[in-house]
Formats: sequence, structure tokens, C-alpha cells
Amino acid sequence: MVVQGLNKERSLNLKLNDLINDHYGLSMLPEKPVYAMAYVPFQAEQPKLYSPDQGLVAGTMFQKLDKPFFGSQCGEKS
Amino acid sequence: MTKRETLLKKISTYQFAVLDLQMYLDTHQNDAETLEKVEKYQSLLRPLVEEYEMKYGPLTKSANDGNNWAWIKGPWPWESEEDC
Repeated sequence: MVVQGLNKERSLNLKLNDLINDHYGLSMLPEKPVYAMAYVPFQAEQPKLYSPDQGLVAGTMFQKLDKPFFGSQCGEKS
Repeated sequence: MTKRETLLKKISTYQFAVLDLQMYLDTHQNDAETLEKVEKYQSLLRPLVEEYEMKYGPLTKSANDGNNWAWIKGPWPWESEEDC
């Protein structure tokens, strides 16, 4: 999702749920990201799943989270 | 792989699937499709655990078989047993 722009006025006193909804909603990144903070993209709804057998081998049930390490780079299983 | 090990692997497989999907559901509470999958895998897992514990003893210390010490009776993971 495209970042909507920056907003300096952010209340720090929101409850956790409000914070999560406000930050993420349904988009991968917060609507109002701030400088000097690192963000992890929010996982999309209904991701493609592996079968339990594949999942155990891959170490994750989620195809998009299956990121084998090749020694010098990270990859995504095709 | 012995029959016991094969059954244990099946249990691990479904346990992992359930655990991984449940963590996802912590942050995606409206994903009914995935919740259904979790329930399906849980229903497949339960009889396997029952079968295993009937044949080979409790899987965890808290398994309800009435004998508090049965769970330490082997084989431990490092004790190999050949099926012959």
C-alpha cells in the first residue's frame, strides 16, 4: 500500500487496539509512518498456505514467508 | 522409520500447522477460512494423539493417563529403535 503522507501530530496515548488499527488498518504499512522507525509490512489476509507436510519442512505454513537462505542472499520460493 | 516414529511425525506435522496458523490468527481475527483450517487440523490431530498415547504412552507430562511417571518411560528422542 502506498504511504499516505506524514503526520507530526500523533497521540501516544491510544490503546493498543486503536494503535494497531490506526497504524495498520488493512494496509501493509501504517498510514502515518514516522521518521527513524522501522516497520514490518502487515501480512495480507488469506495468504496462500502450504499443506501441513510442506509446512513442517519449510518451517512456515505461509508460502510468502518461506524465505530460504542461500548463503549470500535471501530468496523467495517460486 | 518405525511405526511409532511415523505416527509421531504425523502428530508433529499437524501440531506445527495448528501452532503456526494460530499465531497468524492472533493478528488476523476475521480470517474465517484460516480458522476453519485450524479446526480441521485440530480434529485430525486429536485422534492421532489418542492413538499414540494408547499405544506408546503419554506424549506430555500432563497427558491424562493416571500414571504420573509413565511419561518418562522411553524411548527418548535419542534412543534409536529399529523396526524389524
